[in-house]
Amino acid sequence: GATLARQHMLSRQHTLMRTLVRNGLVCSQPAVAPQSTNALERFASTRADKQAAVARDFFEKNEKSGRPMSPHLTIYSPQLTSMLSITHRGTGIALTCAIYGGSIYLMSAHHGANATDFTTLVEGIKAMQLPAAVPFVAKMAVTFPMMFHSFNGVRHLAWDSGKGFEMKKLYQTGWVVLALAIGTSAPLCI
Amino acid sequence: MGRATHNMLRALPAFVAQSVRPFRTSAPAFENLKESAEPKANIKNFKIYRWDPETNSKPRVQTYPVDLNKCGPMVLDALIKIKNEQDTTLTFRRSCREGICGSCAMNIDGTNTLACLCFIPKDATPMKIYPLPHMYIIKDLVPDMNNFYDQHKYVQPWLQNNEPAEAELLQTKDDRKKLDGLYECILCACCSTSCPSYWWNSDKYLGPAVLLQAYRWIADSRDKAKTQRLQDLQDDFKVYRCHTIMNCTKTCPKHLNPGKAIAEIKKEMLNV
Repeated sequence: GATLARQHMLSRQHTLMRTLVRNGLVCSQPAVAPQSTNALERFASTRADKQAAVARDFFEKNEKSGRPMSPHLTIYSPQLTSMLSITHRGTGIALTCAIYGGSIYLMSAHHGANATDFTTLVEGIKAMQLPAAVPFVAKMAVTFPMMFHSFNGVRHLAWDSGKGFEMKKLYQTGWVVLALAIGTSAPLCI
Repeated sequence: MGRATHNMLRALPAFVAQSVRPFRTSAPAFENLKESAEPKANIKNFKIYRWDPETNSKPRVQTYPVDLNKCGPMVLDALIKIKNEQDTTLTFRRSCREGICGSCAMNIDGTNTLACLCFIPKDATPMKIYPLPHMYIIKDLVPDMNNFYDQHKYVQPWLQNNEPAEAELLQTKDDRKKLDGLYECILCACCSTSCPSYWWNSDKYLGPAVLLQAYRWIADSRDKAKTQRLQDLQDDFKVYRCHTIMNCTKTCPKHLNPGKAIAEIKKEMLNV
């Protein structure tokens, strides 16, 4: 009884296998791992290396094919999320330039006979009688990055602890940071 | 004529009166009939990205006018209508038309979403339809998704538990709740292709969709390979190209939160 059932099952499996092989769906040889032509890939031992190789192949194949890349920066609509993020990066760069540039200037220029201190510098700028907007913009260019980067930095720290990721919270904290940054820098610069 | 036909004809005026009102049969009403029967056409222009791999031309944008009064409410309805009536060469992916398969993911009016879930605004401003951003295009709105799928495969999106068990792997309600907001991902790639970091590093950064799935398995109490999973993410690019830009959560058509999942991964990585 049991032997007959088993024989029946084996014969059915054999027929199925035969059909699949004849139809080109299954290889009649036992499976062999494809040998890659790249020696480095053949010795790639970790999964991460294999994934890196697969990704490289994808990009090589697509670059060679002449397929276009779909537009991104030119068509993606600006959101509060991405705009505040790029402003954080931009203000960070601006602050770095200001700190390095300002320090180098103060350390290197005007030594010895032409020594100038900060007060004389400010007097000199006042003497230029520039329209009120110019010093305002110049001062904002340093103050706004400082305030924005600091407040958004706090928002980033909250994110690092896992807090504030819901859509509503993101937008609320985002607007608060922007308002605080402008609110604390504009009055100081007038 | 037969009795049945005669009775039907007698009932006709009442029948007509109770069906759609404009269709009166009196002759002088014929002038009104045409205008009130056909609602005024509400034409909206659809500007759609086109590229044909069989020509050497550059990608272009083609404008198609669609009468919204004769079209279903979703962008996918408009695309199908354009393909049926105006240009059969327009190519795009679609399947379920109900926001569960993820095939029709594309960039609509600047945001990535599913065409079958995106309502067409009734105003006259043209609607811009582009493929998912920063992807190699096979044709028109169809991107090459293979890199995305390979990255998904890399995080081993299946349960790994080799401990001997006699019956089902039990899980408390609280543990099951941790998977809410993670398992519902339909892998449409809207989030990954909205991430500027993924645009610049799609070869090495895994992207929010794949990382959400990685976290789905890391957070599953029945899975026993947590340490290995976290170690597989251990390098400068796979997770750490995420700078919390948060375009992903903003754009997810299923209202999931990949940004939060990545933050949780980063917290777990501290302990590896």
